[in-house]
Amino acid sequence: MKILKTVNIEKVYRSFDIETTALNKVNLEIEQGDFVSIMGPSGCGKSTLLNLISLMDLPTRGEVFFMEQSTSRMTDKKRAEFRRKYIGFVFQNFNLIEELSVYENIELPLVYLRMPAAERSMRVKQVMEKLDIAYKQHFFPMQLSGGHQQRVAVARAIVASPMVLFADEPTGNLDSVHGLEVMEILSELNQNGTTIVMVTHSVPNSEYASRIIKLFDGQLVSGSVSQYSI
Amino acid sequence: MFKSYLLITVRNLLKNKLFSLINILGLALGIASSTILFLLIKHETSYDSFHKQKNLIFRVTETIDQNGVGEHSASVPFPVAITLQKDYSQWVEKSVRLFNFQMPSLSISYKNKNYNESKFFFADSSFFEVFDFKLIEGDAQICLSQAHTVVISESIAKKYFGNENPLGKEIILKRQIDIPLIVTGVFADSQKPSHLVFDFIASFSTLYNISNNDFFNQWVWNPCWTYVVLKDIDFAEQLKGQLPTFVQKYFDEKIKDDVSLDLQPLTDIHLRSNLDYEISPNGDIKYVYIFILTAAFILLIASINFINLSNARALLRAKEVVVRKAIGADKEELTKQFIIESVLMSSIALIFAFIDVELAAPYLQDLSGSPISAYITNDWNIIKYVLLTGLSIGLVAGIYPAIYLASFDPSKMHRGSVLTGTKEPIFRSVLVVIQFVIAILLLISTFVSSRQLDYLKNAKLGFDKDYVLVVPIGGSPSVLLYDEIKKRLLHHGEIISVTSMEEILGSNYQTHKFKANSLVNNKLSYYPSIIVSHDFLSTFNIELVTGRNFIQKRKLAEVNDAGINMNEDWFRYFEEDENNAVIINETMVNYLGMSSPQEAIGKEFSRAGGTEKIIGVVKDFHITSLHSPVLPFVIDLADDKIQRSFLKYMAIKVDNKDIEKAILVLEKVWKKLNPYQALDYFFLEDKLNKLYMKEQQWSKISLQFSLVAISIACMGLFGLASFIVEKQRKDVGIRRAIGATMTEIVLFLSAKLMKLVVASILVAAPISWILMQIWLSSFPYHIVMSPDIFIYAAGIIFIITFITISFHTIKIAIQTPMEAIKSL
Repeated sequence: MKILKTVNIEKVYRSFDIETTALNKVNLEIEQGDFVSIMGPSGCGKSTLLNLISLMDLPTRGEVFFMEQSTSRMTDKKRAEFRRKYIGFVFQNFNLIEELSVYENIELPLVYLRMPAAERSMRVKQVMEKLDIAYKQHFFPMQLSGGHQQRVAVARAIVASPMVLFADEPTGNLDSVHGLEVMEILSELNQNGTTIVMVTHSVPNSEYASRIIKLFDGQLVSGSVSQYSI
Repeated sequence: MFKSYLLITVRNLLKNKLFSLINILGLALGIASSTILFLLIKHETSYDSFHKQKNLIFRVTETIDQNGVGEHSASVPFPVAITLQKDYSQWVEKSVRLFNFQMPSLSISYKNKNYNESKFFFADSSFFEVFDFKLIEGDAQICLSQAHTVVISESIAKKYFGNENPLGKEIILKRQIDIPLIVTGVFADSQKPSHLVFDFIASFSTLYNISNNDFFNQWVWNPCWTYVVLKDIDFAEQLKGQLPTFVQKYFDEKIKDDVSLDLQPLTDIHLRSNLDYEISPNGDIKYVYIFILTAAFILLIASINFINLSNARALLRAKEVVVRKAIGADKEELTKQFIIESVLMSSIALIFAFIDVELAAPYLQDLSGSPISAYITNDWNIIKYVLLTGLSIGLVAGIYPAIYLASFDPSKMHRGSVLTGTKEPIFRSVLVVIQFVIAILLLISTFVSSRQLDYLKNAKLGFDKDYVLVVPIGGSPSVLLYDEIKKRLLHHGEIISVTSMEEILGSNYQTHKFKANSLVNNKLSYYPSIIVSHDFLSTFNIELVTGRNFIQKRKLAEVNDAGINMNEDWFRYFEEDENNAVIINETMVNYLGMSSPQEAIGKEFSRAGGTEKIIGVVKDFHITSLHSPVLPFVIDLADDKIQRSFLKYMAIKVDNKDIEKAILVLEKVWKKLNPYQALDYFFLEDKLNKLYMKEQQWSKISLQFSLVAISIACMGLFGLASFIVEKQRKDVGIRRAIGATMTEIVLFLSAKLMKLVVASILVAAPISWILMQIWLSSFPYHIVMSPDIFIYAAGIIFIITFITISFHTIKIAIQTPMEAIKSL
């Protein structure tokens, strides 16, 4: 099943009289189960593309289909619902909520899903054990190393069992050992059926992917179609 | 979900402790201050509202207007109550009169105790049926039904009888004769505000027993405060419509064309009545409006603080918002979260506000300087007000930051610092300006009200009020001893001059009937006047413009010896000034249409059937407070018989170097000549200063709330400055790196906020000028607004603001450039 499809999406930023085209007519398809790496030089539009396909932002022109549904005319509420139900997001700088503990950070997506407390507790525990952070559950983000923070961020992203996990430079702020750990986790998730779309500069990291999309100056250079589709 | 909101609120508060404290305390201070004002408003507006029939009770008032002179009286003649009830029995259910001989105090004795009591009234037996004052002993139905009975307050019972049972005890009202009164009831000391303040209510029928004077049946003298209870409120208009007919039917032929009666709702008396002979000093609705405005201003300042600080802090939470959005929170949910947080914070502020109000409550005073009744401060409505205000502010103030936060675009914010690229919102600047405009307005109002108060207290009144002791003597045997007391007092060097008068000079006056020989008004009319005894002008140093002072007959020989030219026409008339002479003021000369004071001398200005002529004209002086303009006025010398009993006060000018000794002399002479009556005295200056109690209290309140407003505004600015300065930390680092000095940095950082303060001053100045002109125009005599008031206010605000901001700017400015850049 095509979980994601973009048709001629463009993103243009306007500042005073200057227009900057961040993405230019990008067509892309992602199948369920794909592990996609988006690569390209700085400023080529990688994060912009990730924002558009993760329903964080709206394209200036073109259309993003998520689970074969057009998203351009979706209300903010509906897009939030999609993010809640089907999408997980891992940020480069973790973006954990500092006022919440490890446990509470991971639990938050389930709270938004209005999941009963007992079930929430069970799922949070499961994912913490899976990522080996259960013993840190009462810690606050400031008390954790970068590697652990990213584990928590991944745990929070996957706790609601999203169909797609988006990751923006997930190892960008980590040392090589912790970076490797995170990549292993993503790989394992993919093997268990989660679709992963990752922006990365790192060639070794990109090798975990089943498919690499290359961007240059806002345009897709290669990898627009999944191998399963060909 | 709620638990999550609660958790994050608490952790956020703890994370930014100083900031949370400023935000919560600012709001608490705002709520507490507005609550205190609300208490004052509630107190002022609740007068007489505890009577069950409050909407049906009306006071009958009388206006006598004769060619622009006369009186607006809170009291009416004796027969009005009974006659109204009889003639309009279809509308009037009950009536009650109160009477006190129009005396400042009455002398009461019990065994060997003597007191002067100022809260003594005679009242009809219906008193306790009309008004709901609670009797704790005795039967309200019958306690005033018999002559020579009296009901007293709980505190008076204690004062006179200690722990003995007061019922059945006999007290003596000392008039020219002793009037025994048996205590038949005791009422609870009222804590509920009422324009009726009394300690003794004696039965009206006692008056009929002790006097056969025909004034009970005459329709001119108007000493009775008269209240009617209507059967239905709709009858008020109908009864009012009949009052002109009533006046024509009953009032004295000589005045009925100049008299009109009116009905005044009981609950309007305290705030909306400013008549002659009010039973007690009233409040003023003007100040209630000012309180409401001030409370609203303070709440607005506190709310703006809350909005601005929450909003500024919102920027720090942009990351949290983005993350929540990324994991599926929608705008609605985030808005809800931040509003709940805001309400939770305001709930904490409420706790502090309650504590503030509880601490302040015992010290609260109303406009007359009396403590605010306990029942008001314990009113459940107050608690409701505080809760409602606090939570509403939390809700309203939370909406803007909530919407602002919830609108953050996750795609733009999820990388890099959340502080970059966020401009200082114009909305926030506007709010800061509004806050400071209000603070400056209150500050200017403080300056103006305090200067106006000084002006009122220190204005030249046209007479000397300093070092004059006033002793109430009216309504008791003391008035008969006046001549002897005066003679003895003048034997002592500390006593400069002694006179007596009908009312306290500068405070009040009466009206009396005179017939002027004038084209303007040549019939008997009621003129503002004062009956005095000899040496009145000299005791008060009132300046004669032309003519002469009153001369005692027995001193006439001395005058002759002094070589005063007795051949002049105007001087020849008067052998006995008591019956033949009056002195008028300059305004009366104008009122009578005379071209000069000299023209007035020798003109007829007589009482009914009298032979008085004008012997002198004095320079205008203020016979009442400066709230009223100078009126045409007559000074009449009391004759030895009836008018002597009108004299209520003795005025003693004492040597300012020997005040204490003069008082000792007075006490000694009084005790010797008048051992059975207590001596009361006060300084005229103190009494006259009390005329401006409302202004004095307002000046105090205005100062207190200006300080509160400035404090809250500065607390907000303090918090805001920390954010603004924080955002410019990088700029500061760069500027320092390229050579800016510390002072330049402080000025650079302060400039933005100081510009807002300057804008506030420019906006506040014209608004406050207009508002203050409106307030001042309610006084016939007032200060002129001068520019220095604005300069002082602007200077104070400017300096306080600069100091507030400097705390943050200096902290950043003293960092090394690298420290500033690294801390980003």
